[in-house]
Amino acid sequence: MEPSYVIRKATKGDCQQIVQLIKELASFEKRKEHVKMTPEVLQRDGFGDHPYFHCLVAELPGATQDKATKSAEHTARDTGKVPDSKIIGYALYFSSYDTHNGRAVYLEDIYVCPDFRGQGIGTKMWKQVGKMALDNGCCRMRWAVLDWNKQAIEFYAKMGGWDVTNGKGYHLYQLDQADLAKLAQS
Amino acid sequence: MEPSYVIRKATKGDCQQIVQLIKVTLRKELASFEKRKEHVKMTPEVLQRDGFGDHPYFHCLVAEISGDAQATQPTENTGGDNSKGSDTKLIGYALYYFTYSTFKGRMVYLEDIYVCPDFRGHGIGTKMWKQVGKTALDTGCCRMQWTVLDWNKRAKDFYSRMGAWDITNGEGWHLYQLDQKDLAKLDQS
Repeated sequence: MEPSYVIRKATKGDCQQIVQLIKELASFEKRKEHVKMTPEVLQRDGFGDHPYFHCLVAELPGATQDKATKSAEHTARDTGKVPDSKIIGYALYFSSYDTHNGRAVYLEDIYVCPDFRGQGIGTKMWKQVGKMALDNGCCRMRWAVLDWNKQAIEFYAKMGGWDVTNGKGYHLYQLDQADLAKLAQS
Repeated sequence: MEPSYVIRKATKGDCQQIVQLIKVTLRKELASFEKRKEHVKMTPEVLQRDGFGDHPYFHCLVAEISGDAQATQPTENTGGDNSKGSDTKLIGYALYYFTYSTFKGRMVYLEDIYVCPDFRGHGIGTKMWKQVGKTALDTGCCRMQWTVLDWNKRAKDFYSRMGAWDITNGEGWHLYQLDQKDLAKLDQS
């Protein structure tokens, strides 16, 4: 029997588990050393009066001992208790703006624990973010993908996404905090 | 004589002029896409609604020149309508919004930065850039991001001078998009 799951808006109380999943995603992207995020920062930035982001979570009600993932093991070790429910995926997104066409959505992360893939959880979260974008009058949804991530590229193609970097020649540029500080002093 | 200008936060009254400048930026991009049929859907009313409410979708700086050659310090326009009998003119803008890195936290994304060609070479773009960068720092942002078209050599040189790097070439990041019509199809599937 397929385990049941729910997809719902994240709450403050989910932040510890979400950060664990962020670290799992970072490991997969070979960038785990870049993660500085903590549950407290995520709570501060996502659940105040002017949140910097919105987040959906996919939750399994009740601990599933036979499909325990690294996330559950870490949470149990850190808190000393097995959670009653377990978050097995999340989709974090925020509003953005296109000066030509108006409101837009940017999907920063979408992740489902490997043990729970193949059940349509990622697709369901994706569609929910897409629906919210439409309902909010957004002209498009954007996100970024690493060029070697074949699995993600195939998923996005299935969802109707297209590569703006290859198609239009857009390159992503970045100014890191240390260089922002130098710029401010110059 | 050097033109005198101020850089200040945009107000509702600036939206008509900002939309005119936005249309110019689209014409420049379209120069390299001969067969694309796109037009700017943005209007001053939409820009006002989205940028000047309780939860703005973006923030905007404008560079304004006035007839007064002695103007020095930037002063904030408290809501006057620039289009009625004013001798000021907007000659640039920088539109940005806050984004989020799940690894590092708050970020700023610079959507557009533009200075009218006649007013380039006076450091106006650099000044707007620095001001957005300072806002990013003051708000605790870990970085600033934006996109640039790969053929835009002038912009790439400007960004390199500012200390920026190309994370598409450097780390392999590709930007993907789902257009509105495909969002609608997804919703019905």
